[in-house]
Amino acid sequence: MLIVTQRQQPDSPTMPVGAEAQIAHKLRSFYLSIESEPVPQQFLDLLEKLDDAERLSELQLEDGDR
Amino acid sequence: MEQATNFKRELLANLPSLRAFAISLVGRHHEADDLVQDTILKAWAKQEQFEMGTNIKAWLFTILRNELYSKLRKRGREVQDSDGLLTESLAQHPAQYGALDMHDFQKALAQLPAEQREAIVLVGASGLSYEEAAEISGCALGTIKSRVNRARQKLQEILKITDEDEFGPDAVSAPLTSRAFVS
Repeated sequence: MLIVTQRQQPDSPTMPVGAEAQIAHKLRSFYLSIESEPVPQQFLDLLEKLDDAERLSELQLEDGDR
Repeated sequence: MEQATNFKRELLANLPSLRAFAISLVGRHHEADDLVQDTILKAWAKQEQFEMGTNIKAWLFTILRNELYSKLRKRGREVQDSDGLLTESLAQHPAQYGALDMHDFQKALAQLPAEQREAIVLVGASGLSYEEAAEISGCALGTIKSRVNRARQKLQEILKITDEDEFGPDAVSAPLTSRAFVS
């Protein structure tokens, strides 16, 4: 109960601190709920493919140098 | 070779936030997946331009944001029409955020003008600074600040949140929430 009354901040009447904190909390929870989902396999596969292609082309370049 | 491996690792580590950024902007829509995919391809092709040790997250977010707006322009749609995508995605996937509260929040987010939504997501959720957000959005620092303020006020109106409401982060999300500041 005490904690609730201590939260009052009279210096910002148009943007109440409590309300602002609630928006901030909801926004971060929303974002984090997405961020904490596993990365879809399609993106991991894509990165692997890009990496493999690059390694291959580097190998071919090395061969060409000889 | 070493450089490429580091780059891949950094890119991988930032995929969850890149995806969260995309979904925050356009909703849980195939468009969000396309954006992430295009960003990966673009980033990979431009990796020489990225300086290791600088902020890869801001760099990736910039690519994603520019991809989104150039796509909308190519289609002859107004930039504001990313709102249209959001509305579609809300109709298609009402329950995917697990909690009804999350869905309500995204509905509110979808009602913001695109530039305000982008600003508040960058500053209030992704953990980037006002300066980084201004750079990503290609506008002045003061513009970002006022967009964030307007977005906050509008969200409060839409969600009918006042100071009198009960507030306290619950045990599950509180540790997650504090992590947002660190990343």
